[in-house]
Amino acid sequence: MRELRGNLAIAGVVLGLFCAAAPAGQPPVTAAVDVTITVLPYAQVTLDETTLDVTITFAETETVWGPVYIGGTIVCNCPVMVFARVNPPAEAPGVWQADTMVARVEVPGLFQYGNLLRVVVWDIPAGSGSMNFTLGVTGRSAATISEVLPPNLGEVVVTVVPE
Amino acid sequence: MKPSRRERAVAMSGLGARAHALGRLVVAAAVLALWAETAHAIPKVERYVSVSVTPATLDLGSVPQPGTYDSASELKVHVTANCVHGGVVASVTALERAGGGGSIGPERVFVKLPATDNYVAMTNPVAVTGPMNPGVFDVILKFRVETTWADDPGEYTGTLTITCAGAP
Repeated sequence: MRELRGNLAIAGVVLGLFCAAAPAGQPPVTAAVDVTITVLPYAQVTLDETTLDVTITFAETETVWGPVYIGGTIVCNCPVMVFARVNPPAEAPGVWQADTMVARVEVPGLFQYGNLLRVVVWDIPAGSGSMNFTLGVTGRSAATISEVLPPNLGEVVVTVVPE
Repeated sequence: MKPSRRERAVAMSGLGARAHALGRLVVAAAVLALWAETAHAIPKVERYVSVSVTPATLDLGSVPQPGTYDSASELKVHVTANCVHGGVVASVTALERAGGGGSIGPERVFVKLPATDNYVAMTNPVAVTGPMNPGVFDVILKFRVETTWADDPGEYTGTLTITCAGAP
């Protein structure tokens, strides 16, 4: 019995050495990379009607026309302000005015605006002409947002025809 | 009472057997040591698989508007192996916005499979190649990210892990 134990011990030692020397499966090898992506501030204004042709017929006593409202949609991922720029026609000088800021978005998201743009025209001179509105968006805290937006989001053409 | 001569002889015989067994053990150990040394002396090439990536940090660029964004950046995966292995597997963590405020989950990050040119969502680890033969290979990976208006502007970072399954 004692000899049997001794032989078992020797066999165990030999088996252990054999297992240690046998090739084992290689573990997976990995490489890690830091990934970065930048999401820019953005806003998109979509007018219900991108082009609005309005013909005004008025008496000589009338000097103010409007307002006219245009609906639209704003989608943005940061607080923004929507503004309108008015380009009076050279052929019909006078004071053509639109609200500078037509919308303010405090919380990012999707917004439907029923009166996104309000246009008032006064001191209308005799004659006819048209004016263009250019809508733009600016971030309240991210000034670069206007750089990533198309400069001309919509155009409203108003034609004035004296009576 | 003193042991008899026969009893002393028997005792001496037991000691001799123990000494004999001990001697056998010493011899076995010496043989094993010699065998191990001889085994190490035989030249042997281990199986190996190596993977590295370039660049070390991957800038996917800037997303100008929500929707699908295909990055122009590429990641080169350099694989060296002297045996057949399981191929290249890519996985990514969520891209977390710096300063908090949201993340872009791996389900919105896609990797382009070199073989089919199809983009596959990285919700789970993606096998971008099949099993690969021994040799040196470069695998070019491109990525797509989907964003929505709900993703706040800012820088998002995460970790991309490239894994090569070990030798079978």
